[in-house]
Amino acid sequence: MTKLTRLVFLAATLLASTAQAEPGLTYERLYARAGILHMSPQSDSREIVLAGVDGPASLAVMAGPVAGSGVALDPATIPAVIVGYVLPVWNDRLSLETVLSTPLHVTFRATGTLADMSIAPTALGIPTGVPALGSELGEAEAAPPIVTAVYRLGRLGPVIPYAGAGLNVLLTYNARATNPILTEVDEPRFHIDPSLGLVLQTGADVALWRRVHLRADFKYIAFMKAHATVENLRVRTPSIPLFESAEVGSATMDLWVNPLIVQLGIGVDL
Amino acid sequence: MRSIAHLPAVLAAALPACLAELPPDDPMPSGVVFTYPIDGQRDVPLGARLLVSFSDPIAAEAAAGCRVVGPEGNVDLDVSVLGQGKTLAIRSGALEPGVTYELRAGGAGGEASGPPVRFTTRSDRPRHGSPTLIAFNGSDPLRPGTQRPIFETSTLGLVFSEPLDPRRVELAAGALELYDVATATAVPATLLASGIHVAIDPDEPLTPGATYELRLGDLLADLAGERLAPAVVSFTPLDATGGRPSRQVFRTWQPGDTNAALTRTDAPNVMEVVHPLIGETIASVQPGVLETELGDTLALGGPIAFRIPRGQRLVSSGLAVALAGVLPSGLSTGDIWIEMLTDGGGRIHRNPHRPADTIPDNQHAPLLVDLSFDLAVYAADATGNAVLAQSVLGVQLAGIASADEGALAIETLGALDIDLLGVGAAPTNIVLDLISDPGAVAAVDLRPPSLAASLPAAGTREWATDEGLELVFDEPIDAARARTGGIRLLDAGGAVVPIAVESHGALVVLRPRAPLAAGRDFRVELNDVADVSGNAMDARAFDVATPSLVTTDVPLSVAAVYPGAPCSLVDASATSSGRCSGGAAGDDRYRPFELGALERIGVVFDQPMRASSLRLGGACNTGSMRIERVDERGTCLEVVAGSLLVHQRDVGFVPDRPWVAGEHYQLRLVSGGDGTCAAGEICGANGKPASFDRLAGTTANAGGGPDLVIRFTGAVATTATTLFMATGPVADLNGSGRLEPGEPRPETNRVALRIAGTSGLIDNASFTGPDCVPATPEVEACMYVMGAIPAQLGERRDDCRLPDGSRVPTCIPVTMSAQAMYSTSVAMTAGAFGIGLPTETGMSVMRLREHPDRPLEGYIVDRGGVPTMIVALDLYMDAPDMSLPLVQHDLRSKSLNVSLEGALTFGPDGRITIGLRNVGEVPITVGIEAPLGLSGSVNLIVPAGEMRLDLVSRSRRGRLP
Repeated sequence: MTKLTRLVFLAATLLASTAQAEPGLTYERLYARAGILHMSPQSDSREIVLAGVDGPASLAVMAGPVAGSGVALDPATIPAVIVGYVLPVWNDRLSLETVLSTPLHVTFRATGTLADMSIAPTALGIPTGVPALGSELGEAEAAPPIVTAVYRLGRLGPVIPYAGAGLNVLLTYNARATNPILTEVDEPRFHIDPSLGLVLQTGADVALWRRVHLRADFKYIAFMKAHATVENLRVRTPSIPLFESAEVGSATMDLWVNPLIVQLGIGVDL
Repeated sequence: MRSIAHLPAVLAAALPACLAELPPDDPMPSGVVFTYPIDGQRDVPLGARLLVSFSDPIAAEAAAGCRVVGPEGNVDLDVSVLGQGKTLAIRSGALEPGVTYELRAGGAGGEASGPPVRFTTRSDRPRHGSPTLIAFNGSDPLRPGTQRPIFETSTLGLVFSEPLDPRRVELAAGALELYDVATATAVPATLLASGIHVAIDPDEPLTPGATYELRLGDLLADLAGERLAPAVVSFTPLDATGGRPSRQVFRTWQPGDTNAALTRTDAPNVMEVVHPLIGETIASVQPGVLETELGDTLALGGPIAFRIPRGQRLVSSGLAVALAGVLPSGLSTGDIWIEMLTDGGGRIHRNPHRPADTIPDNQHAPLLVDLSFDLAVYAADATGNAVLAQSVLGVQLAGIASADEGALAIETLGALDIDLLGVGAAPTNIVLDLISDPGAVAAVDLRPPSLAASLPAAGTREWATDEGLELVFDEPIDAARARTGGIRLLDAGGAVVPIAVESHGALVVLRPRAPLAAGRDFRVELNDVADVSGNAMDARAFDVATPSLVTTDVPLSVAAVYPGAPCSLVDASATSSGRCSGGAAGDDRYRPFELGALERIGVVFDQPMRASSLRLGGACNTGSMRIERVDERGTCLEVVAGSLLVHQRDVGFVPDRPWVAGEHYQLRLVSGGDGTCAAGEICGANGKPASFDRLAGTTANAGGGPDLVIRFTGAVATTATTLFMATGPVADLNGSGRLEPGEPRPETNRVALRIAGTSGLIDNASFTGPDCVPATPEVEACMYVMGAIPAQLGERRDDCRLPDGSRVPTCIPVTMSAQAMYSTSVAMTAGAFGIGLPTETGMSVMRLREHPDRPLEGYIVDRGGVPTMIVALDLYMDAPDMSLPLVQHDLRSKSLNVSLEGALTFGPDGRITIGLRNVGEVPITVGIEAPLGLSGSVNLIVPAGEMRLDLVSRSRRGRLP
């Protein structure tokens, strides 16, 4: 994917070279702001839901929500580039932007009872020996394409504030469970559905020198609910060697990600 | 620019390709996941339905490859598919007792595949030689714990090579001892014994890791008195609970519960009884709860032990007992209760049909369960209980455990032998489905037991001196409590009579350890009788006595011989067995005698015999009782090995090996040539040698004479049920042929004779004894009858033609052996010209006649819902000792015809009674010839209903086998 990202960036650069800036705000048609992106998920998860709990595991675990359980995403900071194209309308105040970045490494953490208590403490009243999972749950690489429409509000000296809105799709790949208890017996299948979010954006460009600008950008992605599934869950039952392990089935997690993204960058109008 | 605009969509489309699903795991191949019996299982009931169950519905494809291989090769099988196509049910009538077979499960392609399952069938017949211990908790006694582990909570199940004499089975030094080596003490335990099975249930758990010894002494003996060679089995129980048993509650699986896929047969929770006598009957296990204890999950490194504490009960629907499956039996069992007599238990373990490291799953590698327990079976209906009550020891079930939807479901399957109506053992296939349910609550038993009946009944003088006394309770009692003073037998002087207290379901047998004396009074005290839950009944007591035996010098004879006829035979030929010695030369010849492969020889005497005079020959032409394989001329080829089961008035012989069809055999009872009882002769308890030619005389000087020799041919086994019925109660207890003071005068088993007139020379006749039917204006004299008739109840027959020519849609044919009945003497005076000649008939002999071309048959038919036996008997009547001065009588081989009919009923003691009565008047004309050509007759009749024969089956539990 790194190659893919570079390819996209190259294509954008080539396209930008053919663009012309709008005279009113002295923008060129194409611009880029490279810098640091910090994503801070405002996670709010529902209880993890177990399904397909068949066989011996059903003696210890009931299908359905695990009371008090939760999942959260860790924040991440990556280098990123905002690439924009000024549309020739409304006196060049409107542009379309996207963010190009290295893949976003997303870490899922267990919270609440999922982290602190065994999901299968007893079977028929007999201790299973299955320990609490701890916080480590899984991770994935994410490509969160964002497309926003940005409207420049005007110029306040060197500062050009703007506001925008758009859509974001959270696409993940290479998702994997990393919890040592869940991976001790078998390799669970971790899958995160693509999810759509509404992007609310604001920020400002600060003209530094000629076509060089400093960009402070804030995005809040609303209504982004990640639906993750871990299948083929099998845990060791050290206190019941008769079973040795139990197939718990699958777990589904619905997580409101709603990240706040802060991006600082510097770039040029091309 | 359009390319950039579409970038997100492109990415969205491309990324899922990177998230390709992992390839699915290789599915486990279809295969066998369960068998009954399990590999290595011993003591598998002969009629058991064998099961092979697969992970998938491939049974039909696998059926062709299914084999049961014995020493003689493949066994004929009847294979059917059950359990939604997952299970093969295999039945075979060709399995032999005590034989190891290999069950080879079929592969999906119809070929035999997989390692064979080896199992050994039950052998519960007496055998020649000393009994041996053949299984200790399911394992080879030399390697205890290898087949089924022994836990600290285990009930110790013992299986012997042949039935033990119950009088000798007790927890005592020299008999049976469970011995703690470390403390050098005997371990207190509850002991149960039945036939070849013994169960020892320690009162407290054993100490894991400690060494125990099971000590078997030579006080143990088989039914023929052959003693066991002392042996010691040393074992160390495993720690299965770690001191932390986990209580689990199970209830019977009900429709709508989870784990329906568990079912490996077509119906859960059923007991299926299959026997020709009643056809195929199914009882359903009703909702019930069992509390169990699971062992420590870590203790055994995988397998989990469990225990089902004793005293718990399940109930099933009653058995619809219909004779041959179609005729009403008149017996209602009501609900049938099953109680754990000892702690049941077993273990849950991984599926041995899959590689050892296979993680259990419900379909392809389900957990297996082995379960062993001892049961009391009894019924809610009082009569049904008396008939059905029994202990079934050594039950071994195998099953599958399946966990799903939060519950652990267990289906166990197997077979046990149910003693059926007291006349046969019926293979019973059981399917028991349980499911864990922490909220289920077991019923609490708060009701004390009560005594419903006894055999003999309280206050009677009918306790046979060599039999046990049966106490029929309405529920099982705590046998250990009864043994420790709870039940006592006292003699007339108040001394305690040593007894063994046997548990037979809800019935208890008090079996004196030594035969009782005749004519003695006893008192039975129930001082502390309680059920296992501790509910004690009020103390009570009753009196009972053994019958008086009036001294007689009349020699012993036989009342019935099976196979054969009860007399010395003469004039045998290639096509007949001859006729009775002393009878008329023109008497019917008996048909050739046969004996089915699995039948036993039975001889019933008419008075007590001297047991020591019965010696089974160990070589050709030796012994007072000789059972030999012979050639066609009767020359002994070899002695038939087997066991002689001697009772006070009868003897049985069980061969070690089934009779071989077509082979010739000979039974000889030696009477000796004179009137003295010598070695090698069969004698009565009165010291007189036996007489087997009663037609030549029945008086004191008739002892000795020709031997009783019965030649017979082995025949293939039949499905008929052999039933030894004998007249009861009996008046002429000492077999003297006379009713003597002190002997009872029952209202049954007597023939009332009435003088209807005289003719010819005879002009007057009258009885000189008392009128035995005072209700009639006429005077009747009674002959009291004693006899025994071996009969075989066959399979149902449709469109039966009865003796009177009528037909009924269905009947059960009863093949009766042509035996004889002896009746007591009648005194009368007959005379002419005013001169009366007093005479006595002496003992009369009534021989049953056979048809020349077919056996004597009776029929059990449905008469308004009552099973009724109908039979037309052709008899020869003889009065060998009747004599009149100067005149001759014709009571020799006098032909009589009598039609009898009567209901088959079950008594409160569980015995079957057929109360036969003559349906029409029976004329008996006694002709008298005097010198000078003078003749006359006394015309007697037996009024309708006044020939009363009550044929009663033997006491099933009180009597030794």
